[in-house]
Amino acid sequence: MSAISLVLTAGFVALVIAGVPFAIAIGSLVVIAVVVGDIEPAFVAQQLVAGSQSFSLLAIPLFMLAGELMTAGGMSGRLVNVASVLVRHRTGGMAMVTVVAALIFASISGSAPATTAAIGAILIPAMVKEGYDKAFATSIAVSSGVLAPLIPPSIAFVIWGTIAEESIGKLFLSGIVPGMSIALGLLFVCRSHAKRHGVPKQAKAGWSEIREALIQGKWALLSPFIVLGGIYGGVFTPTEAAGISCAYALLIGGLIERRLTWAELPRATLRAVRTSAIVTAIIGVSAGFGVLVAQEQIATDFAGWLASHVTEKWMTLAGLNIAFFLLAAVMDEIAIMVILGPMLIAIANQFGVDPIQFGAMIVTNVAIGMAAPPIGYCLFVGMAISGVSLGRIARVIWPQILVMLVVLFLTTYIPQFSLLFVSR
Amino acid sequence: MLDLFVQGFGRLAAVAASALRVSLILAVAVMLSSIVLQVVMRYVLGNTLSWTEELAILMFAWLTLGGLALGVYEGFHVRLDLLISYLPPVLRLVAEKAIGILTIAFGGYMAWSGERFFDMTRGSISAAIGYPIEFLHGLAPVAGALICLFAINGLFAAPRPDAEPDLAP
Repeated sequence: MSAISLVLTAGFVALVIAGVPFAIAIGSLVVIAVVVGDIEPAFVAQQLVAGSQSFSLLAIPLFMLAGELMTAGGMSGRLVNVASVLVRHRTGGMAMVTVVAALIFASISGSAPATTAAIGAILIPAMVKEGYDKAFATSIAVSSGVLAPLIPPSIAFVIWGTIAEESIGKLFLSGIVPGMSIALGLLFVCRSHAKRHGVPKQAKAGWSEIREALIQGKWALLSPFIVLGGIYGGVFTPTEAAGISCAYALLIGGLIERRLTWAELPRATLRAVRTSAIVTAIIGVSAGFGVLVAQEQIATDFAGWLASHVTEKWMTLAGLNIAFFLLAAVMDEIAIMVILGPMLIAIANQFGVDPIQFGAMIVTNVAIGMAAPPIGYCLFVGMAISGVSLGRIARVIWPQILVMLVVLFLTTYIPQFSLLFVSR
Repeated sequence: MLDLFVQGFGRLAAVAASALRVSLILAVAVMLSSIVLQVVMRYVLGNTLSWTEELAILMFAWLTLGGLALGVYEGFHVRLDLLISYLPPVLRLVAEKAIGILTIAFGGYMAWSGERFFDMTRGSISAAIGYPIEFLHGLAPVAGALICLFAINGLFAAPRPDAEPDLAP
Protein backbone atom coordinates (compact mmCIF):
# COMPACT_ATOMS: atom_id res chain seq x y z
CA MET A 1 0.00 0.00 0.00
CA SER A 2 1.39 3.41 -0.99
CA ALA A 3 1.82 6.29 1.46
CA ILE A 4 -1.08 8.19 -0.14
CA SER A 5 -3.38 5.15 0.13
CA LEU A 6 -2.43 4.81 3.79
CA VAL A 7 -3.21 8.49 4.44
CA LEU A 8 -6.59 8.23 2.69
CA THR A 9 -7.71 5.03 4.45
CA ALA A 10 -6.08 4.74 7.89
CA GLY A 11 -5.86 8.54 8.20
CA PHE A 12 -9.59 8.89 7.53
CA VAL A 13 -10.50 6.33 10.20
CA ALA A 14 -8.15 7.98 12.73
CA LEU A 15 -9.43 11.54 12.18
CA VAL A 16 -13.11 10.52 12.23
CA ILE A 17 -12.66 8.55 15.47
CA ALA A 18 -10.80 11.53 16.95
CA GLY A 19 -13.95 13.63 16.43
CA VAL A 20 -12.75 15.82 13.57
CA PRO A 21 -15.78 17.04 11.54
CA PHE A 22 -16.11 14.96 8.36
CA ALA A 23 -15.64 17.91 6.00
CA ILE A 24 -12.46 19.08 7.79
CA ALA A 25 -11.13 15.51 8.07
CA ILE A 26 -11.56 14.83 4.34
CA GLY A 27 -10.11 18.22 3.36
CA SER A 28 -7.12 17.81 5.70
CA LEU A 29 -6.40 14.33 4.34
CA VAL A 30 -6.33 15.66 0.79
CA VAL A 31 -3.79 18.27 1.97
CA ILE A 32 -1.66 15.62 3.75
CA ALA A 33 -1.79 13.32 0.68
CA VAL A 34 -0.70 16.23 -1.55
CA VAL A 35 2.26 16.94 0.75
CA VAL A 36 3.21 13.24 1.15
CA GLY A 37 2.81 12.52 -2.57
CA ASP A 38 4.68 15.68 -3.64
CA ILE A 39 1.70 16.75 -5.77
CA GLU A 40 1.32 20.36 -7.04
CA PRO A 41 -0.24 22.28 -4.07
CA ALA A 42 -2.74 24.08 -6.34
CA PHE A 43 -4.46 20.67 -6.73
CA VAL A 44 -6.25 21.25 -3.39
CA ALA A 45 -7.89 24.53 -4.48
CA GLN A 46 -8.51 23.30 -8.02
CA GLN A 47 -10.45 20.29 -6.71
CA LEU A 48 -12.35 22.35 -4.13
CA VAL A 49 -13.62 24.57 -6.94
CA ALA A 50 -14.23 21.59 -9.25
CA GLY A 51 -16.32 19.88 -6.53
CA SER A 52 -18.92 22.65 -6.76
CA GLN A 53 -19.21 22.83 -10.55
CA SER A 54 -22.23 20.60 -11.09
CA PHE A 55 -25.61 22.07 -12.04
CA SER A 56 -27.42 19.02 -10.60
CA LEU A 57 -26.07 19.73 -7.12
CA LEU A 58 -27.79 23.13 -7.05
CA ALA A 59 -30.96 21.19 -6.28
CA ILE A 60 -29.64 20.57 -2.74
CA PRO A 61 -29.87 24.14 -1.35
CA LEU A 62 -32.97 24.88 -3.44
CA PHE A 63 -34.97 21.90 -2.15
CA MET A 64 -33.84 22.80 1.40
CA LEU A 65 -35.04 26.36 0.80
CA ALA A 66 -38.36 25.13 -0.62
CA GLY A 67 -38.94 23.14 2.59
CA GLU A 68 -38.12 26.17 4.76
CA LEU A 69 -40.35 28.51 2.75
CA MET A 70 -43.25 26.06 2.84
CA THR A 71 -43.02 25.75 6.61
CA ALA A 72 -42.62 29.52 7.12
CA GLY A 73 -45.49 30.20 4.71
CA GLY A 74 -47.89 27.88 6.55
CA MET A 75 -48.16 25.20 3.84
CA SER A 76 -46.88 22.43 6.16
CA GLY A 77 -49.76 23.11 8.56
CA ARG A 78 -52.27 22.85 5.71
CA LEU A 79 -50.80 19.49 4.65
CA VAL A 80 -51.11 18.19 8.22
CA ASN A 81 -54.80 19.21 8.26
CA VAL A 82 -55.45 17.31 5.01
CA ALA A 83 -53.72 14.19 6.35
CA SER A 84 -55.63 14.55 9.62
CA VAL A 85 -59.14 14.56 8.10
CA LEU A 86 -58.24 11.52 5.98
CA VAL A 87 -56.89 9.07 8.58
CA ARG A 88 -57.25 10.37 12.16
CA HIS A 89 -60.36 8.23 12.92
CA ARG A 90 -58.49 4.95 12.41
CA THR A 91 -56.78 2.96 15.17
CA GLY A 92 -53.46 4.76 15.61
CA GLY A 93 -54.95 7.60 13.57
CA MET A 94 -52.91 10.51 14.90
CA ALA A 95 -49.63 8.62 14.33
CA MET A 96 -50.88 7.70 10.86
CA VAL A 97 -51.50 11.40 10.19
CA THR A 98 -47.74 11.90 10.75
CA VAL A 99 -46.86 9.24 8.15
CA VAL A 100 -49.34 10.53 5.55
CA ALA A 101 -48.38 14.19 6.09
CA ALA A 102 -44.67 13.26 5.78
CA LEU A 103 -45.43 11.37 2.58
CA ILE A 104 -47.04 14.46 1.02
CA PHE A 105 -44.31 16.80 2.32
CA ALA A 106 -41.65 14.42 0.99
CA SER A 107 -43.09 14.73 -2.49
CA ILE A 108 -42.30 18.46 -2.36
CA SER A 109 -39.19 18.92 -0.25
CA GLY A 110 -36.76 16.01 -0.84
CA SER A 111 -35.02 16.59 2.48
CA ALA A 112 -35.46 14.04 5.31
CA PRO A 113 -34.58 16.25 8.28
CA ALA A 114 -36.61 19.17 6.83
CA THR A 115 -39.58 16.77 6.61
CA THR A 116 -39.04 15.52 10.18
CA ALA A 117 -38.79 19.12 11.42
CA ALA A 118 -41.83 20.42 9.50
CA ILE A 119 -44.10 17.50 10.43
CA GLY A 120 -42.63 16.68 13.84
CA ALA A 121 -42.93 20.22 15.20
CA ILE A 122 -46.70 20.09 14.65
CA LEU A 123 -47.48 16.42 15.19
CA ILE A 124 -45.24 15.26 18.07
CA PRO A 125 -47.08 17.56 20.54
CA ALA A 126 -50.42 16.60 18.91
CA MET A 127 -49.69 12.87 19.29
CA VAL A 128 -48.64 13.32 22.94
CA LYS A 129 -51.89 15.23 23.57
CA GLU A 130 -53.85 12.30 22.14
CA GLY A 131 -52.22 9.88 24.59
CA TYR A 132 -49.19 8.56 22.68
CA ASP A 133 -45.93 8.00 24.52
CA LYS A 134 -43.57 10.92 23.76
CA ALA A 135 -40.72 8.61 22.72
CA PHE A 136 -43.00 6.71 20.31
CA ALA A 137 -44.38 9.98 18.89
CA THR A 138 -40.80 11.14 18.26
CA SER A 139 -39.80 7.83 16.70
CA ILE A 140 -42.74 7.99 14.26
CA ALA A 141 -41.85 11.55 13.21
CA VAL A 142 -38.21 10.47 12.74
CA SER A 143 -39.05 7.34 10.72
CA SER A 144 -41.65 9.20 8.63
CA GLY A 145 -39.10 11.91 7.84
CA VAL A 146 -36.82 9.38 6.14
CA LEU A 147 -39.47 8.78 3.48
CA ALA A 148 -38.16 11.99 1.88
CA PRO A 149 -34.96 10.46 0.41
CA LEU A 150 -37.05 7.77 -1.30
CA ILE A 151 -40.15 9.66 -2.47
CA PRO A 152 -39.30 11.89 -5.45
CA PRO A 153 -37.88 14.50 -5.52
CA SER A 154 -34.95 13.51 -3.33
CA ILE A 155 -31.69 15.22 -2.45
CA ALA A 156 -30.03 11.85 -1.74
CA PHE A 157 -30.87 10.65 -5.28
CA VAL A 158 -29.52 13.92 -6.72
CA ILE A 159 -26.20 13.29 -4.95
CA TRP A 160 -26.05 9.64 -5.98
CA GLY A 161 -27.01 10.48 -9.57
CA THR A 162 -24.13 12.97 -9.70
CA ILE A 163 -21.63 10.46 -8.28
CA ALA A 164 -22.80 7.52 -10.40
CA GLU A 165 -23.50 9.64 -13.51
CA GLU A 166 -26.97 8.08 -13.82
CA SER A 167 -30.29 9.72 -14.77
CA ILE A 168 -31.62 11.54 -11.70
CA GLY A 169 -35.16 11.31 -13.10
CA LYS A 170 -34.93 7.49 -13.31
CA LEU A 171 -33.36 7.29 -9.85
CA PHE A 172 -36.28 9.32 -8.44
CA LEU A 173 -38.73 6.79 -9.91
CA SER A 174 -36.82 3.85 -8.42
CA GLY A 175 -37.57 5.14 -4.92
CA ILE A 176 -41.37 5.16 -5.25
CA VAL A 177 -42.11 1.50 -4.43
CA PRO A 178 -39.53 1.23 -1.59
CA GLY A 179 -40.78 4.55 -0.15
CA MET A 180 -44.47 3.63 -0.34
CA SER A 181 -43.69 0.20 1.14
CA ILE A 182 -41.95 1.78 4.13
CA ALA A 183 -44.93 4.15 4.55
CA LEU A 184 -47.33 1.15 4.54
CA GLY A 185 -45.17 -0.65 7.09
CA LEU A 186 -45.12 2.45 9.29
CA LEU A 187 -48.93 2.69 9.15
CA PHE A 188 -49.06 -0.93 10.35
CA VAL A 189 -46.66 -0.08 13.24
CA CYS A 190 -48.88 2.90 14.20
CA ARG A 191 -51.96 0.67 14.28
CA SER A 192 -50.40 -2.11 16.32
CA HIS A 193 -48.85 0.36 18.81
CA ALA A 194 -52.19 2.12 19.36
CA LYS A 195 -53.96 -1.25 19.78
CA ARG A 196 -51.40 -2.53 22.26
CA HIS A 197 -51.41 0.66 24.34
CA GLY A 198 -55.14 1.40 24.07
CA VAL A 199 -54.70 4.85 22.54
CA PRO A 200 -58.23 6.28 22.00
CA LYS A 201 -59.47 6.88 18.44
CA GLN A 202 -60.45 10.32 17.21
CA ALA A 203 -63.81 11.34 15.74
CA LYS A 204 -64.18 10.80 12.01
CA ALA A 205 -64.12 13.99 10.00
CA GLY A 206 -67.41 14.91 8.30
CA TRP A 207 -67.63 15.69 4.58
CA SER A 208 -67.77 19.40 5.24
CA GLU A 209 -64.60 19.24 7.35
CA ILE A 210 -62.82 17.15 4.69
CA ARG A 211 -63.91 19.58 1.98
CA GLU A 212 -62.76 22.55 4.03
CA ALA A 213 -59.30 20.96 4.68
CA LEU A 214 -58.90 20.14 0.98
CA ILE A 215 -59.87 23.68 -0.04
CA GLN A 216 -57.49 25.20 2.53
CA GLY A 217 -54.73 22.84 1.49
CA LYS A 218 -55.22 23.05 -2.28
CA TRP A 219 -52.10 25.15 -2.91
CA ALA A 220 -49.89 22.84 -0.90
CA LEU A 221 -51.43 19.78 -2.58
CA LEU A 222 -50.85 21.24 -6.01
CA SER A 223 -47.13 21.59 -5.36
CA PRO A 224 -46.10 17.92 -5.90
CA PHE A 225 -47.93 17.97 -9.24
CA ILE A 226 -46.00 21.05 -10.35
CA VAL A 227 -42.63 19.66 -9.20
CA LEU A 228 -43.02 16.05 -10.37
CA GLY A 229 -45.23 16.86 -13.35
CA GLY A 230 -42.64 19.38 -14.49
CA ILE A 231 -39.77 16.90 -14.22
CA TYR A 232 -41.50 13.94 -15.86
CA GLY A 233 -43.39 16.07 -18.37
CA GLY A 234 -39.98 17.15 -19.65
CA VAL A 235 -40.72 20.78 -18.76
CA PHE A 236 -37.73 21.25 -16.49
CA THR A 237 -34.73 19.47 -14.96
CA PRO A 238 -34.73 18.38 -11.28
CA THR A 239 -32.60 21.44 -10.42
CA GLU A 240 -35.01 23.78 -12.19
CA ALA A 241 -37.89 21.97 -10.45
CA ALA A 242 -36.28 22.83 -7.11
CA GLY A 243 -36.10 26.48 -8.16
CA ILE A 244 -39.73 26.49 -9.32
CA SER A 245 -40.72 24.83 -6.04
CA CYS A 246 -39.09 27.73 -4.13
CA ALA A 247 -40.78 30.31 -6.36
CA TYR A 248 -44.13 28.59 -5.84
CA ALA A 249 -43.66 28.51 -2.05
CA LEU A 250 -42.73 32.21 -2.11
CA LEU A 251 -45.78 33.07 -4.18
CA ILE A 252 -48.25 31.09 -2.08
CA GLY A 253 -46.70 31.94 1.31
CA GLY A 254 -46.23 35.61 0.48
CA LEU A 255 -49.15 36.60 -1.72
CA ILE A 256 -51.93 34.08 -1.04
CA GLU A 257 -51.42 32.83 2.53
CA ARG A 258 -49.74 36.16 3.47
CA ARG A 259 -47.71 34.50 6.23
CA LEU A 260 -44.29 34.87 4.64
CA THR A 261 -42.95 38.31 5.53
CA TRP A 262 -39.92 40.17 4.15
CA ALA A 263 -38.30 39.84 7.58
CA GLU A 264 -38.75 36.05 7.58
CA LEU A 265 -37.17 35.55 4.14
CA PRO A 266 -33.48 36.03 5.13
CA ARG A 267 -34.02 33.92 8.26
CA ALA A 268 -35.53 31.04 6.25
CA THR A 269 -32.75 31.37 3.64
CA LEU A 270 -30.03 31.29 6.30
CA ARG A 271 -31.56 28.14 7.82
CA ALA A 272 -31.47 26.55 4.36
CA VAL A 273 -27.86 27.76 3.88
CA ARG A 274 -26.77 26.11 7.13
CA THR A 275 -28.47 22.80 6.45
CA SER A 276 -27.28 22.58 2.86
CA ALA A 277 -23.75 23.62 3.87
CA ILE A 278 -23.54 20.50 6.05
CA VAL A 279 -23.99 18.44 2.89
CA THR A 280 -22.30 20.59 0.23
CA ALA A 281 -19.16 21.06 2.36
CA ILE A 282 -18.64 17.29 2.44
CA ILE A 283 -19.31 17.00 -1.29
CA GLY A 284 -16.97 19.92 -2.08
CA VAL A 285 -13.96 18.60 -0.16
CA SER A 286 -14.58 15.05 -1.39
CA ALA A 287 -13.79 15.90 -5.04
CA GLY A 288 -10.01 15.91 -4.42
CA PHE A 289 -10.34 12.85 -2.20
CA GLY A 290 -12.16 11.03 -5.01
CA VAL A 291 -9.48 11.90 -7.58
CA LEU A 292 -6.72 10.60 -5.29
CA VAL A 293 -8.67 7.40 -4.51
CA ALA A 294 -9.11 6.84 -8.26
CA GLN A 295 -5.43 7.59 -8.93
CA GLU A 296 -4.35 5.11 -6.29
CA GLN A 297 -6.88 2.58 -7.68
CA ILE A 298 -8.04 1.83 -4.13
CA ALA A 299 -11.67 1.35 -5.19
CA THR A 300 -11.03 -0.81 -8.24
CA ASP A 301 -8.38 -2.89 -6.44
CA PHE A 302 -10.78 -3.59 -3.59
CA ALA A 303 -13.65 -4.38 -5.97
CA GLY A 304 -11.38 -6.76 -7.93
CA TRP A 305 -10.19 -8.42 -4.73
CA LEU A 306 -13.77 -8.82 -3.55
CA ALA A 307 -14.88 -10.31 -6.87
CA SER A 308 -12.06 -12.86 -6.80
CA HIS A 309 -12.84 -13.94 -3.24
CA VAL A 310 -16.63 -13.68 -3.14
CA THR A 311 -18.27 -15.15 -6.22
CA GLU A 312 -21.90 -15.01 -5.09
CA LYS A 313 -23.73 -11.82 -6.03
CA TRP A 314 -26.29 -12.16 -3.21
CA MET A 315 -23.55 -12.51 -0.65
CA THR A 316 -21.75 -9.39 -1.88
CA LEU A 317 -24.95 -7.33 -1.81
CA ALA A 318 -25.76 -8.59 1.69
CA GLY A 319 -22.21 -7.70 2.76
CA LEU A 320 -22.56 -4.19 1.28
CA ASN A 321 -25.85 -3.63 3.12
CA ILE A 322 -24.43 -4.82 6.43
CA ALA A 323 -21.30 -2.70 5.95
CA PHE A 324 -23.42 0.38 5.11
CA PHE A 325 -25.67 -0.19 8.14
CA LEU A 326 -22.67 -0.52 10.48
CA LEU A 327 -20.83 2.42 8.91
CA ALA A 328 -23.92 4.63 9.18
CA ALA A 329 -23.82 4.06 12.94
CA VAL A 330 -20.55 5.98 13.15
CA MET A 331 -20.44 8.02 9.96
CA ASP A 332 -22.47 10.60 8.11
CA GLU A 333 -24.55 8.95 5.34
CA ILE A 334 -23.70 11.61 2.75
CA ALA A 335 -19.99 11.12 3.49
CA ILE A 336 -20.42 7.37 3.00
CA MET A 337 -22.07 7.95 -0.39
CA VAL A 338 -19.49 10.46 -1.57
CA ILE A 339 -16.35 8.76 -0.21
CA LEU A 340 -17.28 5.15 -0.88
CA GLY A 341 -19.45 5.82 -3.96
CA PRO A 342 -16.79 5.00 -6.58
CA MET A 343 -15.89 1.78 -4.77
CA LEU A 344 -19.54 0.76 -4.37
CA ILE A 345 -20.18 1.43 -8.07
CA ALA A 346 -17.09 -0.59 -9.07
CA ILE A 347 -18.35 -3.53 -6.96
CA ALA A 348 -21.89 -3.28 -8.39
CA ASN A 349 -20.45 -3.27 -11.92
CA GLN A 350 -18.31 -6.34 -11.17
CA PHE A 351 -21.46 -8.24 -10.21
CA GLY A 352 -23.70 -6.83 -12.98
CA VAL A 353 -26.17 -5.07 -10.68
CA ASP A 354 -28.54 -2.69 -12.48
CA PRO A 355 -27.20 0.82 -11.71
CA ILE A 356 -30.66 2.30 -11.05
CA GLN A 357 -31.60 -0.59 -8.74
CA PHE A 358 -28.25 -0.16 -7.02
CA GLY A 359 -29.02 3.55 -6.54
CA ALA A 360 -32.34 2.65 -4.90
CA MET A 361 -30.52 0.19 -2.63
CA ILE A 362 -27.95 2.81 -1.60
CA VAL A 363 -30.57 5.49 -0.92
CA THR A 364 -32.69 3.03 1.10
CA ASN A 365 -29.56 2.48 3.18
CA VAL A 366 -29.16 6.26 3.50
CA ALA A 367 -32.77 6.55 4.69
CA ILE A 368 -32.26 3.84 7.31
CA GLY A 369 -29.01 5.47 8.47
CA MET A 370 -30.80 8.78 9.01
CA ALA A 371 -33.28 7.19 11.44
CA ALA A 372 -31.27 4.42 13.09
CA PRO A 373 -29.43 5.15 16.36
CA PRO A 374 -26.85 6.16 17.44
CA ILE A 375 -26.37 8.93 14.84
CA GLY A 376 -28.76 10.13 12.17
CA TYR A 377 -29.85 13.55 10.96
CA CYS A 378 -33.56 12.86 11.53
CA LEU A 379 -32.89 11.38 14.93
CA PHE A 380 -31.16 14.60 16.03
CA VAL A 381 -34.03 16.71 14.70
CA GLY A 382 -36.64 14.55 16.48
CA MET A 383 -34.69 14.70 19.74
CA ALA A 384 -34.35 18.49 19.43
CA ILE A 385 -38.13 18.90 18.95
CA SER A 386 -39.31 16.58 21.72
CA GLY A 387 -36.40 16.65 24.17
CA VAL A 388 -36.56 12.83 24.43
CA SER A 389 -33.19 11.12 25.01
CA LEU A 390 -31.50 8.93 22.41
CA GLY A 391 -31.82 5.89 24.69
CA ARG A 392 -35.61 6.24 24.98
CA ILE A 393 -36.07 6.64 21.22
CA ALA A 394 -33.73 3.71 20.53
CA ARG A 395 -35.95 1.44 22.68
CA VAL A 396 -39.11 2.19 20.66
CA ILE A 397 -37.88 2.84 17.12
CA TRP A 398 -36.75 -0.73 16.34
CA PRO A 399 -40.08 -1.91 14.76
CA GLN A 400 -39.79 0.97 12.26
CA ILE A 401 -36.15 0.11 11.55
CA LEU A 402 -37.20 -3.52 11.05
CA VAL A 403 -39.80 -2.39 8.46
CA MET A 404 -37.08 -0.46 6.63
CA LEU A 405 -34.71 -3.44 6.70
CA VAL A 406 -37.40 -5.66 5.14
CA VAL A 407 -37.86 -3.06 2.37
CA LEU A 408 -34.07 -2.92 1.93
CA PHE A 409 -34.03 -6.70 1.50
CA LEU A 410 -36.75 -6.51 -1.17
CA THR A 411 -35.00 -3.61 -2.95
CA THR A 412 -31.71 -5.53 -2.94
CA TYR A 413 -32.94 -8.88 -4.21
CA ILE A 414 -36.01 -8.11 -6.35
CA PRO A 415 -35.01 -5.76 -9.21
CA GLN A 416 -38.66 -5.14 -10.21
CA PHE A 417 -39.31 -3.75 -6.73
CA SER A 418 -37.34 -0.59 -7.52
CA LEU A 419 -37.55 -0.70 -11.31
CA LEU A 420 -41.36 -1.00 -11.60
CA PHE A 421 -41.82 2.60 -12.77
CA VAL A 422 -38.46 2.95 -14.52
CA SER A 423 -38.59 2.71 -18.30
CA ARG A 424 -35.43 1.13 -19.79
CA MET B 1 -2.74 42.35 26.66
CA LEU B 2 -3.63 38.83 25.52
CA ASP B 3 -7.25 39.45 26.57
CA LEU B 4 -7.38 42.55 24.41
CA PHE B 5 -5.96 40.62 21.46
CA VAL B 6 -8.48 37.80 21.94
CA GLN B 7 -11.37 40.28 22.24
CA GLY B 8 -10.28 42.14 19.12
CA PHE B 9 -9.87 38.90 17.21
CA GLY B 10 -13.30 37.72 18.38
CA ARG B 11 -14.85 40.96 17.13
CA LEU B 12 -13.08 40.63 13.78
CA ALA B 13 -14.34 37.04 13.41
CA ALA B 14 -17.89 38.08 14.33
CA VAL B 15 -17.89 40.87 11.72
CA ALA B 16 -16.47 38.49 9.08
CA ALA B 17 -19.09 35.87 9.97
CA SER B 18 -21.91 38.44 9.65
CA ALA B 19 -20.62 39.54 6.24
CA LEU B 20 -20.29 35.89 5.21
CA ARG B 21 -23.91 35.15 6.21
CA VAL B 22 -25.17 38.11 4.19
CA SER B 23 -23.08 37.04 1.17
CA LEU B 24 -24.44 33.48 1.37
CA ILE B 25 -28.06 34.69 1.57
CA LEU B 26 -27.41 36.87 -1.48
CA ALA B 27 -25.76 33.95 -3.30
CA VAL B 28 -28.89 31.82 -2.75
CA ALA B 29 -31.11 34.70 -3.92
CA VAL B 30 -29.08 35.17 -7.13
CA MET B 31 -28.92 31.41 -7.72
CA LEU B 32 -32.71 31.05 -7.32
CA SER B 33 -33.46 34.10 -9.48
CA SER B 34 -31.18 32.83 -12.27
CA ILE B 35 -32.83 29.41 -12.38
CA VAL B 36 -36.38 30.75 -12.26
CA LEU B 37 -35.51 33.30 -14.94
CA GLN B 38 -34.03 30.51 -17.08
CA VAL B 39 -37.30 28.54 -16.97
CA VAL B 40 -39.53 31.58 -17.44
CA MET B 41 -37.52 32.86 -20.41
CA ARG B 42 -37.49 29.42 -22.04
CA TYR B 43 -41.24 28.82 -21.83
CA VAL B 44 -42.79 32.27 -21.69
CA LEU B 45 -40.57 34.19 -24.09
CA GLY B 46 -39.12 31.22 -26.01
CA ASN B 47 -35.60 32.48 -25.37
CA THR B 48 -32.96 30.14 -23.89
CA LEU B 49 -30.51 32.20 -21.86
CA SER B 50 -26.87 31.14 -22.03
CA TRP B 51 -25.58 32.84 -18.87
CA THR B 52 -28.06 31.86 -16.13
CA GLU B 53 -26.65 28.38 -15.49
CA GLU B 54 -23.09 29.65 -15.24
CA LEU B 55 -24.07 32.43 -12.84
CA ALA B 56 -26.05 29.98 -10.68
CA ILE B 57 -23.07 27.59 -10.54
CA LEU B 58 -20.76 30.46 -9.54
CA MET B 59 -23.12 31.26 -6.65
CA PHE B 60 -23.26 27.58 -5.70
CA ALA B 61 -19.44 27.48 -5.59
CA TRP B 62 -19.51 30.26 -3.00
CA LEU B 63 -22.30 28.51 -1.11
CA THR B 64 -20.13 25.37 -0.93
CA LEU B 65 -16.85 27.06 0.05
CA GLY B 66 -18.34 29.90 2.13
CA GLY B 67 -20.68 27.39 3.80
CA LEU B 68 -17.65 25.29 4.73
CA ALA B 69 -16.17 28.36 6.47
CA LEU B 70 -19.45 29.33 8.19
CA GLY B 71 -19.69 25.79 9.57
CA VAL B 72 -16.30 26.26 11.23
CA TYR B 73 -17.49 29.47 12.91
CA GLU B 74 -20.92 28.18 13.95
CA GLY B 75 -19.75 24.60 14.64
CA PHE B 76 -22.50 22.93 12.60
CA HIS B 77 -20.33 20.48 10.63
CA VAL B 78 -21.26 16.88 11.38
CA ARG B 79 -18.78 14.77 13.33
CA LEU B 80 -18.54 11.65 15.41
CA ASP B 81 -18.05 12.84 18.98
CA LEU B 82 -19.01 9.61 20.75
CA LEU B 83 -15.43 8.80 21.68
CA ILE B 84 -14.22 12.21 22.80
CA SER B 85 -17.42 12.79 24.78
CA TYR B 86 -16.23 10.01 27.11
CA LEU B 87 -12.86 11.68 27.72
CA PRO B 88 -12.20 13.53 31.00
CA PRO B 89 -12.83 17.31 30.61
CA VAL B 90 -9.12 18.18 30.41
CA LEU B 91 -8.36 15.61 27.71
CA ARG B 92 -11.49 16.61 25.84
CA LEU B 93 -10.33 20.21 25.84
CA VAL B 94 -6.94 19.09 24.49
CA ALA B 95 -8.67 17.08 21.76
CA GLU B 96 -10.86 20.06 20.81
CA LYS B 97 -7.81 22.33 20.63
CA ALA B 98 -5.97 19.77 18.47
CA ILE B 99 -8.97 19.70 16.08
CA GLY B 100 -8.82 23.52 16.06
CA ILE B 101 -5.12 23.47 15.13
CA LEU B 102 -5.79 20.93 12.34
CA THR B 103 -8.58 23.21 11.04
CA ILE B 104 -6.23 26.23 11.07
CA ALA B 105 -3.65 24.23 9.12
CA PHE B 106 -6.27 23.10 6.60
CA GLY B 107 -7.61 26.65 6.16
CA GLY B 108 -4.11 28.06 5.84
CA TYR B 109 -3.09 25.50 3.21
CA MET B 110 -6.36 26.04 1.35
CA ALA B 111 -5.72 29.80 1.26
CA TRP B 112 -2.12 29.30 0.04
CA SER B 113 -3.07 26.64 -2.49
CA GLY B 114 -5.95 28.84 -3.66
CA GLU B 115 -3.67 31.81 -4.13
CA ARG B 116 -1.32 29.63 -6.24
CA PHE B 117 -4.22 28.32 -8.33
CA PHE B 118 -5.53 31.89 -8.70
CA ASP B 119 -2.13 33.03 -10.01
CA MET B 120 -1.73 30.05 -12.36
CA THR B 121 -5.08 30.60 -14.06
CA ARG B 122 -5.10 34.43 -14.05
CA GLY B 123 -6.29 36.02 -17.28
CA SER B 124 -8.76 33.32 -18.34
CA ILE B 125 -12.46 34.01 -18.77
CA SER B 126 -15.55 31.87 -18.18
CA ALA B 127 -17.17 30.04 -21.09
CA ALA B 128 -20.66 31.60 -21.29
CA ILE B 129 -20.67 34.97 -19.51
CA GLY B 130 -17.02 35.70 -20.13
CA TYR B 131 -16.42 36.92 -16.56
CA PRO B 132 -12.77 36.87 -15.38
CA ILE B 133 -12.11 33.38 -13.98
CA GLU B 134 -10.46 35.06 -10.96
CA PHE B 135 -14.00 35.54 -9.56
CA LEU B 136 -14.42 31.76 -9.38
CA HIS B 137 -10.86 30.81 -8.50
CA GLY B 138 -10.60 33.55 -5.88
CA LEU B 139 -13.30 31.86 -3.80
CA ALA B 140 -10.98 29.12 -2.49
CA PRO B 141 -8.31 31.46 -0.99
CA VAL B 142 -10.99 33.71 0.54
CA ALA B 143 -12.81 30.73 2.09
CA GLY B 144 -9.47 29.27 3.26
CA ALA B 145 -8.55 32.56 4.97
CA LEU B 146 -11.98 32.69 6.64
CA ILE B 147 -11.61 29.09 7.88
CA CYS B 148 -8.23 30.05 9.32
CA LEU B 149 -9.65 33.17 11.01
CA PHE B 150 -12.66 31.34 12.47
CA ALA B 151 -10.57 28.38 13.66
CA ILE B 152 -8.05 30.70 15.41
CA ASN B 153 -10.99 32.49 17.03
CA GLY B 154 -12.40 29.11 18.13
CA LEU B 155 -9.07 28.15 19.63
CA PHE B 156 -9.17 31.11 22.03
CA ALA B 157 -12.92 31.22 22.62
CA ALA B 158 -14.53 29.51 25.63
CA PRO B 159 -15.64 25.94 24.79
CA ARG B 160 -19.28 25.80 23.78
CA PRO B 161 -21.75 22.94 24.01
CA ASP B 162 -21.82 20.77 20.89
CA ALA B 163 -24.19 22.03 18.28
CA GLU B 164 -26.34 19.26 16.90
CA PRO B 165 -27.00 19.49 13.19
CA ASP B 166 -30.58 20.68 12.82
CA LEU B 167 -31.58 20.08 9.26
CA ALA B 168 -29.86 18.33 6.39
CA PRO B 169 -30.67 16.06 3.44
